[in-house]
Amino acid sequence: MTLTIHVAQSLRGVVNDLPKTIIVGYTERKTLRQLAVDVGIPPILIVFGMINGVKRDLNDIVGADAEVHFLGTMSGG
Amino acid sequence: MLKGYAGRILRVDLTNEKIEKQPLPAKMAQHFIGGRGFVAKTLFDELPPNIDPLGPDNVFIAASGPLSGQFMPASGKTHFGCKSPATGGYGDSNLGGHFGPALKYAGYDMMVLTGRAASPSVLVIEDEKITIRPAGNLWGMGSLSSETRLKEEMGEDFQILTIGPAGENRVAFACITHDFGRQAGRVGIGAVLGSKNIKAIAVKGTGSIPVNDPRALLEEGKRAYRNVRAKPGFTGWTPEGTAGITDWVTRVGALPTRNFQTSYWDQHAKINGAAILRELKITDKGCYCCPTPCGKYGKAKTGLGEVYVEGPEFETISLLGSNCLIDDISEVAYANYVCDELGLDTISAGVVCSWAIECFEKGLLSREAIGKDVQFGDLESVVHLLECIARREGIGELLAGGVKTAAQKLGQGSEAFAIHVKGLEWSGYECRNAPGMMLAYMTSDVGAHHARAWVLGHDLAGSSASVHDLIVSEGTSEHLPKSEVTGRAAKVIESQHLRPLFDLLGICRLQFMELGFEVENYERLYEVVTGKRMTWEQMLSVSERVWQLTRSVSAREIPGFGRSWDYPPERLMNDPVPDGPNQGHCISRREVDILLDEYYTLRGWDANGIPKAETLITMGLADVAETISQWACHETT
Repeated sequence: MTLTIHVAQSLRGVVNDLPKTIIVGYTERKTLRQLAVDVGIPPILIVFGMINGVKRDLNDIVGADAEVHFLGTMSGG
Repeated sequence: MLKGYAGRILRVDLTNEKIEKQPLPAKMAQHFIGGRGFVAKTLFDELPPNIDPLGPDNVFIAASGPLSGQFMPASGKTHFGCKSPATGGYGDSNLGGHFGPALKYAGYDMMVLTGRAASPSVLVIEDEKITIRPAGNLWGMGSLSSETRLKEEMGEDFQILTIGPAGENRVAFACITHDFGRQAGRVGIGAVLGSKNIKAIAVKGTGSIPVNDPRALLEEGKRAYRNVRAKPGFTGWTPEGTAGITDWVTRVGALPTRNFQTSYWDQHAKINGAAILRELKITDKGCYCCPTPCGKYGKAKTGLGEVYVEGPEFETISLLGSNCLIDDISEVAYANYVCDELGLDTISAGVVCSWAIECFEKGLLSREAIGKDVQFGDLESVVHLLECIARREGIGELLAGGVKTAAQKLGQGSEAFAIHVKGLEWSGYECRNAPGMMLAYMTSDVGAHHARAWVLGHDLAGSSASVHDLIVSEGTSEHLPKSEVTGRAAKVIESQHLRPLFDLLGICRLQFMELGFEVENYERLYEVVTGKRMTWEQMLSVSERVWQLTRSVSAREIPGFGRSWDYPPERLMNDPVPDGPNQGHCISRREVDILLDEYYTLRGWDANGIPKAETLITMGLADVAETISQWACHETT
């Protein structure tokens, strides 16, 4: 089982050397926050994360075979 | 002439009711692209010296760009420009909606208004037919009500700009409203329209815009729509729009709170994007050709009444919400509605109201002066102040000039907590531990405005010795480390060229900034529209040219303009943040000078922040270089 993590340009523009997509093995239950740390993204830079296209709290648990999106620092209107 | 442009400029001398239609100079399109570029070039060339921004000699400009009105995502932007009554220098502001495309379909890339109509009027543009008709009983009516009335009279096919009582009364932060909730909010552009006795501009265009390769545009446009809607952030970002960042801005300690006394508010969840969805929203609302409608139209019920309103978006949430301690999203939306109807910029209005309330708390303004007791967290206080301002009644006369002018008149130390740069009130990000963002506000060409550059993420990424430190501290520490001030200028400058580039092209930046719509799409779309190949880097160099020009306009228009005009308010330099993630942090005057020194050097400006002649020549602005020594205040030490 794997997890596919998509890293938005708004994060890759701030943290160098982050790939656009990261595939990791699913070995244990982790939160979005822990997952971000694992792949080198400071959670403080994440404006929101999504699991399977739905906006979720960073403390929510990610299930197996999920598709995760991390979006970075946005600016208001 | 390049394709993609209507090819003409409409000029209206309101004093003499003289109308001219001139060809758009090809060189202007090539050197300045459009929108904000046209505004800057026109203001530099045509502003008479030493004029009153609210006098008949000021120039009011509306300009679109080559991508405005085209079949591609979010091509509905219009740029407006004038000598700003808020700052006395270069001023521009933009809005979405449908006005710019309609102006192009009527046959005009740009409209320039000069002089002053003899009486309150409505300018009507219907393809070739241009008329100036009496405003009648619209004068005195609210912005939204005026648009409703004009739509009823003229038909839905007209795209309409209006001002409210604030614009009529020349309030320094009066805005222009369009499409029942889209505003060109900043720099007092609505006051300039009011000073020209123009209550509204209605345009209906039935023509078309020449395109180099219509078939390719159709294909590229469709592909672009699919691309944007497939972006990872689409389903997450679009439902809440800009309000979706409220929690994050709070989490990083950047939420303006209680007139910028602090940068964190534990009540933020009551006024965030989720609150809008839960309590207000009826439907999404987007601009011309927008696949990502960020507008949230809804109904707000408060003790003061029920209103239908678009918004509030993040800037309004932060300035009328947290900065005034309004902890109910319906009340924030109600204050938003009052601003919209009166024709006030919600950003500046929030700063001015919170300053006035703090003055009252400190005993600097009395109950008699204000007309009632006012307090933070009280919607009635805010609405009272807004209505006084728009009509210049009572305390409104003092506040209508903006927070800088009001503080200068009141004195007694109130200047220290008047939150502005150059006379333009600060927008929605508190920066005492974000030196890059602070520098962005300080050097923004229109005053303290976030849309010129936005580097808060880079500040956070660089606020620790390493990314690892940030990772480790997240969740285990509620306190962010003090950010370093050195090495910030390059990112700010990069952002100052990037974000305003969209204002040259005439499209919205949010698809790129928030969703990551790729650069190569814009290059391709520009090429199929205009027939000219232009790389992203070449477009950025035009944006840099425009930045040098806008700085030069302010250097010419503002007596004594220079470094001192770039300083942040005292509060943000001297008062450490009292609580939240950035508790104890502030940026000292010495650090501010380090930021500016680095920035001026990279910009090719002298120590007083004035563009050097050689810099202007390199940027293709030899005509500006020839004259800058005559009017700018150079300093070499």
